[in-house]
Amino acid sequence: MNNDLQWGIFLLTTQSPGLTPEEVIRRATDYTLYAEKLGMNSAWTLEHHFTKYGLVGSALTQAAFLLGKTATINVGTAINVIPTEHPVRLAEEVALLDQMSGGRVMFGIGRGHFIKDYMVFGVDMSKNTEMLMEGYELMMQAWATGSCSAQSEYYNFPKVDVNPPTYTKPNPPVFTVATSPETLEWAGSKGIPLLLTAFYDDEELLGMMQFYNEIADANGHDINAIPHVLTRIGGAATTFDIRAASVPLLNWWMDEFTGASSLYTTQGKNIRGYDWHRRRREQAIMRGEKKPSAGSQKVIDINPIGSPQECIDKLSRSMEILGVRHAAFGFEAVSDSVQIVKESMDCFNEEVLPKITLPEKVW
Amino acid sequence: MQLPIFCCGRRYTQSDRDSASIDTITLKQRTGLDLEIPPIDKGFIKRSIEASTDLADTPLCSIVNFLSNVGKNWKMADYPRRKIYVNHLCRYLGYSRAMAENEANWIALLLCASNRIYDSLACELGDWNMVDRWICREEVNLKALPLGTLLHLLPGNVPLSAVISMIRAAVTKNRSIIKLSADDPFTSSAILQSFIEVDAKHPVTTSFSIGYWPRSDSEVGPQFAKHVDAIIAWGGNDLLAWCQKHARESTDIIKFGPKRSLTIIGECDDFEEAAKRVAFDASVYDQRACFSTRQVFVMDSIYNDFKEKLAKAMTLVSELIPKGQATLDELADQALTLQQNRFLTPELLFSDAWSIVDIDSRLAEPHCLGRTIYLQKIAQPEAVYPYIDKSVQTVGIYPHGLGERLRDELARRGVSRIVEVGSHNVFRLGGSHDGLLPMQRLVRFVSQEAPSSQIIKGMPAEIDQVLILENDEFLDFIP
Repeated sequence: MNNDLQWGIFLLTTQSPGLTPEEVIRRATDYTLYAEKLGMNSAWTLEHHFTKYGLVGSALTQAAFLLGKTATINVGTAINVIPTEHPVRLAEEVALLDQMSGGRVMFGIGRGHFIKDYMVFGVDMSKNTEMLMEGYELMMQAWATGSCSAQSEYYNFPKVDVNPPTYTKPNPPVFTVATSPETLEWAGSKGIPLLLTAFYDDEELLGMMQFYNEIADANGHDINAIPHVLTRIGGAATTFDIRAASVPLLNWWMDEFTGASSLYTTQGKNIRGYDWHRRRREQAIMRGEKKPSAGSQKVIDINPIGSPQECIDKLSRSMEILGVRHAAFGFEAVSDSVQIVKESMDCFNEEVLPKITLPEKVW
Repeated sequence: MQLPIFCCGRRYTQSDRDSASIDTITLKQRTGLDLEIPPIDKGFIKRSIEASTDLADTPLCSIVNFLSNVGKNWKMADYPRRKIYVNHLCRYLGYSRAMAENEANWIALLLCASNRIYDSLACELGDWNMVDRWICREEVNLKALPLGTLLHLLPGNVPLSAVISMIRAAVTKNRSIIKLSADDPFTSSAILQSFIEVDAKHPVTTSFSIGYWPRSDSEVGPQFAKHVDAIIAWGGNDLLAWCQKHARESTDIIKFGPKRSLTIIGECDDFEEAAKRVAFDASVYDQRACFSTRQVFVMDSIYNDFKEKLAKAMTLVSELIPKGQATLDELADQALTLQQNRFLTPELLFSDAWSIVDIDSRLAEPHCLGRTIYLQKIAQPEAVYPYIDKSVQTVGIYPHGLGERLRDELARRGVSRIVEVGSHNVFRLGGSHDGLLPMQRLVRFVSQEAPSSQIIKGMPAEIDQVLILENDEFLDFIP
């Protein structure tokens, strides 16, 4: 294993056809324990509501359980949808987990793009960019000073003490999934590390990172020290064609994701702040990908899925182009077989990752 | 900052290279900042020359739709790639933000102009379908095939030239190897990156390779020149000489620039409108473009009024499109021009952003650029003829109707374009570019001709040449 390379697992907790909810949840814990055994650095929990695309409604609750079950691996949320929760409560919960785990918690934030979440939780989705930004400031204020107050359209309360203080100083690591230019610009201005999405190819991610870097640099952040995490779907096999075998599940996964988001329906058309997402969907349609599942081939092409050598080649190139040193893999997306998922994890551990060389230079 | 290079639509990374250690090439920019770019190695040359692409077999509609798909991203003001590009033009090339944004807007417009692409092909080839299929024309079926691989030697003065060169190559289905200009190492790479973002595997994307080599390099450039089917040379006579030295005899060399452009203002009442348009033509690209007007000929009867309005218009345009950063040499040249003309010009008008210099009977070349307009009185529009030769690209005329009176002599003397004032930078559909219809030069026409059984116009019988000879009937068949 390359000592500078950090790696982790994304816990998708997808209930694909044929799996029971109990199996999905149990497997997530099982995979995390296995990841720790393999020496992975991170496990990431995902927040989704009202969809089988992901069964975990509370990423922090799952993270808490996993932190309690493990001893060394860091556990992060990817992500918490800040506008649908109160940021001060989140600040408290993260600080508590940080204390209880001895500094092993990581906190991913974002505004999400699932319309139903906002409807059910009674938050105006078109205001979520401002709410994310304000929520972040409140949490940082609480962690930095031990108290916070707010007077705004979204949060309005007098100064309160926030407990406990964080174990990690000045605060637990915060990440964000930023894909829209507006959120990227904000993240860059704050120097918040990115969780680089598995649905974008290297060149798209590089474009985002270059944009982010320009802003971060202009705001005085050392862009070489920002610990971005590359997220990728991972699947390696030596005895069968895992690329072909992964297609049905990926097709289902992509369709379920797009359906759950509703962003591309008439309802989502007029929601402010998602022009870039809609443009990407339009791009896909113009490429001839009428159904979301038609994008599965692209997912297979851009992610390390295939023979160990194919995975080495693809991942090396991604790491070289993007200059990141931490990658987390969603192994579950390519198969609903525990055996295949664990074989992939083994294969990455034994054959793929030891052969990844981290570049000195970003191209 | 390190710039990327691309081989067959793919970023050429350290692990793609022949050797692990490389010395990058430094490109000094007009702003004083340096850029680094990796050199092209043998593997890059081999791959970019030998790689196969499906572009020749890709339907035109797929190419045009792809370009439009990319263009729609550029149309979004907050498209990250666009924002990065605009920042780079400002930071490294010294563009004002308005100039850089305008450049990005043009990229969007050109890529999105689907109908215009079809119409341009139709204008230049006769029928846009010809790049896709055999088209029946009189007694033949005709098809326009790509030349093969083009080497673009791009200019640095007008970023848009890169876009135009790339679009022309793509819609005529040619593969392209692009040599970046040291003065604009951004535009074509930014466009290719936006291609990759939309569809890395599209034949248009994979048809482009982009890199840089210094003019002094005796390995890389000649290697490419030797292998390509045509060279598109944006530059002067020394560049042309380089192409002729290194290309095969059969290689087409299609040359653009360098040229100069000027404006004629005839009798008119609406000085203000005319002045605004001239100010625009003299401000885009800070006069570095071939089509930028540098010398303006004005009828004696309106000269003073026009000059006054022009000064106001130059100020207005400099507020709308602030001037870019000049190099020390350019600034010195401009200062010297002002000093010299202080004694020669009755009333020298100037500001930090522009200057208007009155001159008599001389050519305003070499020109100091920097939005300096040489203004010259004429007794009649025909007085401009002595200033016209083949080095003139664009002549702007106001009022437009005056063009009909002047066009024959202007054309005879060598100008390439006659346009309405205010439109120097707008190449109208069907227009020529430096005397050429460029896309016509990027294809090879092949005809499948009609059989003898097809009786041709004016011919009473089928062509049977042996029988005609046997019967000595050739003259009988001449209509």
